Amino acid sequence: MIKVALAGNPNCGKTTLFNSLTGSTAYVGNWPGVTVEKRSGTYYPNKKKKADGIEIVDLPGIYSLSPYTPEEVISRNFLLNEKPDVVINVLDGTNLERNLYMTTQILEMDVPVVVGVNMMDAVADSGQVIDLDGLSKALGVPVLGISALREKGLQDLMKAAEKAAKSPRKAVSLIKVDATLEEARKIYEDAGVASPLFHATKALEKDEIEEKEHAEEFKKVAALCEKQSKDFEAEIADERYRFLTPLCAKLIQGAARQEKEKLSLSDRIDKVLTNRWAAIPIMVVVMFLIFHFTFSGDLFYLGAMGVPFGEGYPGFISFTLGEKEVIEGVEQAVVYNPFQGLFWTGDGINSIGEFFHVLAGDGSTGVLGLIGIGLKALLMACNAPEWVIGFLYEGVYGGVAAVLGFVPQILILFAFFAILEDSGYMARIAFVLDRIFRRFGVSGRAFLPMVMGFGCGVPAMINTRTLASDKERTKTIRVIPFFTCGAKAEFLTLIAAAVASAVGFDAGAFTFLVYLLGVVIAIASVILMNHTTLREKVPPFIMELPSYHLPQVKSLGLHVWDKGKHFIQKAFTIILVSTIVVWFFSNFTWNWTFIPTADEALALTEKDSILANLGMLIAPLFTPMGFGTQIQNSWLFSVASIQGIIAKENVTSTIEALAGVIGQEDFSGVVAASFAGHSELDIAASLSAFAVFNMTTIPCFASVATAKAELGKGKTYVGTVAFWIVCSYLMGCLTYVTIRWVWTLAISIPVIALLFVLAFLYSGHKNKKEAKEA
Amino acid sequence: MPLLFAPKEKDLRILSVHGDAKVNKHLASLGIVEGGIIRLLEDANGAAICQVKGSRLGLDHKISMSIMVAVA
Repeated sequence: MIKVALAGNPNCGKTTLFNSLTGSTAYVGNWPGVTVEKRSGTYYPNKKKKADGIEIVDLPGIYSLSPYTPEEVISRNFLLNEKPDVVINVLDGTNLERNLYMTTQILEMDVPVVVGVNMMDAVADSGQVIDLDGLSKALGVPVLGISALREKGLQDLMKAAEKAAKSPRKAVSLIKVDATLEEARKIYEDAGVASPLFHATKALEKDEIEEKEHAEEFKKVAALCEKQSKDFEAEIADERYRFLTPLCAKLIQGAARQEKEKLSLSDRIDKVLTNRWAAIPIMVVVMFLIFHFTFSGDLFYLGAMGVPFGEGYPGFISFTLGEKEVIEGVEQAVVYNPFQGLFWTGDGINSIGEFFHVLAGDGSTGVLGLIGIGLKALLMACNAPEWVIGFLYEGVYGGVAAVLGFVPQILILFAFFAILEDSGYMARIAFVLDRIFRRFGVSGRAFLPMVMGFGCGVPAMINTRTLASDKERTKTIRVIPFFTCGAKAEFLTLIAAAVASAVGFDAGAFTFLVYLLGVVIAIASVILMNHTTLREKVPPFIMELPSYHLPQVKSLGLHVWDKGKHFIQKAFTIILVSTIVVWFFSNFTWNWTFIPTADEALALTEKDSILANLGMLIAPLFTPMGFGTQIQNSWLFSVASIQGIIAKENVTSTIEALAGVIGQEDFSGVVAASFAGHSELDIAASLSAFAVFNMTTIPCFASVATAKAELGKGKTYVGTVAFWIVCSYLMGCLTYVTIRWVWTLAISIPVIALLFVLAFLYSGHKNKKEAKEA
Repeated sequence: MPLLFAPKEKDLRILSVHGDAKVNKHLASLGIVEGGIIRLLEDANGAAICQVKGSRLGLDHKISMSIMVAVA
């Protein structure tokens, strides 16, 4: 099979081309650096014949083959080491000269190249004409005009690529460098290095990677330059443009020049959105609205402002299965009302996210509830034994449905962030925040991975490859878990509801405060790391700001669906298994007696189960956080927290499944039963600590594995996991103690302040010492 | 003069770029090279948005002060 690599500048449409060619649905964003990994697919020239496919590899966008960030290294290594049969160099036709800069470098490799000038429709719209034949002659390779988005010219491009792959191409250098280049090339050729011209040029440029990979040859070239007392480091870049600038002036005809004179729409939008006074307030409002529209149960705070909503929306169906329950000593029929509070509740109007959450529901409400109740009715109709109903309905279905019910709401959050990114605004936020972030110890570029952390930590950690320095990457990866991810939002919502019912504190405000606390912990951690273990000069902020455009519905839908799939898959695999395990161990004793059907003379309760025993064993660990030995059912909280380390959804599903075991309907019931006799303040303190600990601790197995892959196996990785454990434990304890005994702030604030002062003194001392040495 | 002090929305010629080699190479690949043309679009609180070879770049304060330009 022919292997084709797609290479080009960031944001030039490689991934769009990749999707069009392979029928894939990879996410395309409007942010330089969306693709941080290579991915491959297959293109079938003849849709019917599946035999003669062509392998297409989409590479992260790069500006040059002298990489600046780790994701760029991936592209360079692929082109050099994995020997694609042909490289399709994708160029953004509206920005030809800059894009050709890398083309001149690719041409220095011994690999067949076909140039695809993308966005030809946009070029035509702006009234420009590009002389493609002239470009082909100047470069010495085939050049074709395409539109990846409109799928124009793709077949011709692939035909040209197939043809080019058949015959080898000799590298050419389009720049004027004196005979030294030829001598350097000879050094590499004699050493038997493939693509000697490319490596020789890089050696003249004093490329860092070249110095590492071909140390011997690099030294010889350096000696050569020294002997002739020549320095090509800056000159080669200049020479490339000396070739390209006149070439582009000759090849591009039309209105381009005039259009430059007036500001484009994007520039005018930038005047407002990056304005020195308005930028940050606008950003704060946008972020607040996103969270408000996703999580609030009181849209625009109408309820809080006193608009009466009565009992809330009554729901449009209600029915009973003939079961009875005892409420306050009176036997009543159990009435199911699955869509109660769909549009509004007694508190206010539901936001769009909350609407979808209620619609999806959980084990007994919403659409999922209907399915669950149907399942239960079916089991009851078949006269299934009670433990089967308990296992399937309360144990397994209840846990999985509790997780699934949040998926639509989380997807709404993803959609909002995708809109921000796709429109081009995210890049501006990074630019505006750079100034502030710099004070903390990371550049504005770290903003995107951090914000992605609100969705899921795994892609967020992978995205840190767009950051320029290793230390900046480590700092960012370490604090990503403090940005409450979608799975954490689930249990947070549950806890917030329990806090609201126990203490009367507004659920939305509670959720928001925990989110905010996460951000504060992240900032504090970055500052501390930047002054102690990860001291560095913050890398400069240099980023292309893409043009604004309206988000594409198709791309957005694909992206959101892709994420949704991931969550649903997780619910039916790891969460399902965990739920079954939890149910099993919470219903059996150590000698395998099934508790609900055990002989009454044994007087077994759920506290005799294996899980409860194990939970009680570790419960003392959680006593300093207020949900350990001082409460009833402490084992449930312990088990949920430990389960959360596997995957954060497990906190939700475990609570939900175990609520049934101790005879409660939901988490609010669990709280009421566990904290009997405790003061409101005590409950608030314990639940807040429970939320904070789970929010800041080891996020999940998946993100630990990702951190390991991104940081390597060494000290940095071990340190990262240790940092998560220690930090979450301290934060959990601090939360409990502070809320429970507010006067302790008189101790904790000075201690924390002292910690920071010491860190600042330490870094000041080190910096001075290093300055002296240098 | 440094880029940040230059008049907005005018073609400027880059006279020199003062920075470490790695950053300079990156800037070069983005089109910021001696002798090239650059435009300052926006001074956003000490950081610059500029236009280089048809693309829009955001540069922090230090970088935008290290690029010396003259009105072309």
